[in-house]
Amino acid sequence: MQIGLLPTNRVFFISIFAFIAIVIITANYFGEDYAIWAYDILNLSIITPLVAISILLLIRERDQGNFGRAWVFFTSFIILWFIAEIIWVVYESVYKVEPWPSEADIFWLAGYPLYFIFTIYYLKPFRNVISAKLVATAIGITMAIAIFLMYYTMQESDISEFETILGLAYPIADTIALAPIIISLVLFFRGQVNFLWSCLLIGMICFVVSDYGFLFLSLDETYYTGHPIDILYLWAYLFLLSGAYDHIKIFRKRNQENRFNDQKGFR
Amino acid sequence: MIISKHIMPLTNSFYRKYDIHNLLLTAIVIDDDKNTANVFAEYLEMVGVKVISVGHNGKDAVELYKKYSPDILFSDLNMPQYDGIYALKKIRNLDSNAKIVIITANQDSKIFEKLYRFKPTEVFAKPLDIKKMTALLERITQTKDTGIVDNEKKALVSFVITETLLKIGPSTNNEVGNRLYAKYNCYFSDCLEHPEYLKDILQEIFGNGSTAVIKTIREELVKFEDQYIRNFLFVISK
Repeated sequence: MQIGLLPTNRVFFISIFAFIAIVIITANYFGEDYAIWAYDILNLSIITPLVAISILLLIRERDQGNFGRAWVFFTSFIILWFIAEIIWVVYESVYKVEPWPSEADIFWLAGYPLYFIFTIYYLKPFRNVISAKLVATAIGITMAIAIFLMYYTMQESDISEFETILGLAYPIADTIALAPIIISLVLFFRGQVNFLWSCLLIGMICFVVSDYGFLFLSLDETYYTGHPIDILYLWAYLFLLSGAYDHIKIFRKRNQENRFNDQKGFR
Repeated sequence: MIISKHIMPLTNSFYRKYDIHNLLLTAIVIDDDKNTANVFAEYLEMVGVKVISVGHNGKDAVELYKKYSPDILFSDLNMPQYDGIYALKKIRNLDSNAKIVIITANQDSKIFEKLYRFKPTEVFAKPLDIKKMTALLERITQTKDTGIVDNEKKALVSFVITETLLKIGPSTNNEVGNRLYAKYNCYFSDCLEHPEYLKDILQEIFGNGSTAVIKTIREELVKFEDQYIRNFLFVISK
């Protein structure tokens, strides 16, 4: 399995993760304002290249074939989340108002269906070997986790019903998003494209934990941007970035002569 | 070249066997040892292969191939100055479908690694195994007999592979093609003869998912009742 950043620059890769954690924890030590600034800067520093790489993938695939269509939806998903992050930052750091709930939630939640369409297009050429048993297992696992989260949170919630449902929507959507990833990991086992799906898996698990943490901290009214739980948000974006970057590396553009498809011998 | 002492009595039994439908196989023999080259040429003549010319180094091989375009070229590997690898490389660049058989007593794995980069049709160890030689000549005769159709089949396989990969995406098509060429010096059309190369590249990229791509290719090709296509599908689906 080719694993993009990880094998060739293992130290660099681990250093970035450690750096993010150290910056957030250090900023928290100095106070909430520092934590907010540290989070915002790191967040935009990761998600901006993620948007750029997604657009590059889109240009590379040119909307052709199933992968092309898949990357259209992946890029749209990332752009929606990027917009949501910007709205959050503007509300909190510019207008100094509580950013949750806000219009940012619309963009975040609208991103999930696009993510699902991305997975559908990516997996479509391989559907003839995806068994019903595998699909049922993946859905079963994710639904069981989602139902457990829903039940447990509804029992514990002291905040308004709307805020509880909104807060709960994220970890549940993240959990459901794990289903196509589980299918992909089994499907592409031992293949180079598996790294993208490994990154999506770890990234989505980070989102599940951090969204769940966000919800619980919000229930206690102890959440603030830049809270140590946000390290997982940043790591999640970094995993998505690494997966997308690796995909570009696998399907790199080269040999413009297209010699492999030389048909002159048949004419 | 050293030819086994047991060749002569055996060859009489299939004398002129390869002159099927007046499609006499033509060959060029290359060896730096003139006696060995002549003995091997005589052997080929005995089994019905027309030896057009005999050369003594890799450069001769390239020039004679250009001049005569034989059905098959037999070349010794170790020759002074221009060796068998030189001949193989140059002729392969001229004609990716050339049938080039390398005959060697060399067992050096590094030499073999270099040799296989240029896709020899066969590599025979000395002393020659008569059964392997017979099988090769039969195979090439069959190809010659159906040469035009063979190109059509290659084009068909190439077309189906390309179409299947393009459905995934142009980048997938490019990447698989590039890797095939880089790793095996092979085009999609060559996958009819070497389905294992395509299988390897697909597995490298998609892991278990390669079976889905192979299944799609199979569904497109399975309707063609042909031995070559059946062999291709058998190996790739194995």
